Amino acid sequence: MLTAPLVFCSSSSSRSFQGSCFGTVGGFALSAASLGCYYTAQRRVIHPGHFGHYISSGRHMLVLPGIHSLVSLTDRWAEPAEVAMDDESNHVRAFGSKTVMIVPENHVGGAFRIGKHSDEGEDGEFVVFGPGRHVLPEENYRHTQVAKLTEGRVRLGPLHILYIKEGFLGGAFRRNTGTYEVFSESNHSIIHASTPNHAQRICRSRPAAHPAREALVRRAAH
Amino acid sequence: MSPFIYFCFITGKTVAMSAAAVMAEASDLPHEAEHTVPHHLVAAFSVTAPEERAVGEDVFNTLDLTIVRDNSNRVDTNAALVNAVNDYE
Repeated sequence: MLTAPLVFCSSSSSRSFQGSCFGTVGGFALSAASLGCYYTAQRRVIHPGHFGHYISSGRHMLVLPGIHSLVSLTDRWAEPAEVAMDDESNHVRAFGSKTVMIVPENHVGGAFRIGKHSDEGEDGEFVVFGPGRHVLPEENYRHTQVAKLTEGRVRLGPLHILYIKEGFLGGAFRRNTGTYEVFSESNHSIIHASTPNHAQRICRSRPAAHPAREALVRRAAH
Repeated sequence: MSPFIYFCFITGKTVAMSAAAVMAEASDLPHEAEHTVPHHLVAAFSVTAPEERAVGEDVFNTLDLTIVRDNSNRVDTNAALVNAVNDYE
């Protein structure tokens, strides 16, 4: 006789991912049995300017600077256990399923957003992040990156950011119509109000490939 | 006195006298000679600071395209960052 299999995890997506209570009880018992030796062995000092990084039941967790001890049997310090709060050389860092992205001034961040988060949004659209620190769940964002706005042409995911200064021209083909569009500095937008002479354009169009128009940025005087 | 010691004495004396003459000539220069840049040029190099601060969101010309901004996961403090990373609910 065939019977239908029982499904015990019908609502697993709505459950929280918590630590092991048996590991916590076992850790306290082991600490008591060892007269505190286990507790002392798991103790670590996190220095100022750093986060403590440990793994608890498969979850990557952070702690603030200070003295911390991992009592639970399912907790262990990650390698390295100390990570810098602001790593200037690495703006995108992954801690398990969480991505910590730092967007400094004069930078722009972007990622593909998975799922439809609003009525106007689309699944898989590319979104731009402003300056600051962002904690992005891996299940919601992919291909996270940060670009510095210094070059004349900056690539950020599917976006091309053209930085057209005074006296220069830019251009690109429009993908839908195939027409070539020239950008001048007359209708530029401004990055910051303090730098009115610096302007840039952002477009999804394919860059110019025609030999005569291949130079995206050239002097207007020529 | 050997010829070599005499030569060194004469050479050192000449160098010392030359250095003293140069220092005396430099001290006679008027103080205005130190300001070689005219005042109108100095005024031309003065930069007026803008009223707005160079912080905040960048403004792009998006060529009639919708560039979605997502700052819903931005954290302001270290404690908020730790809470966001440790949030597995």
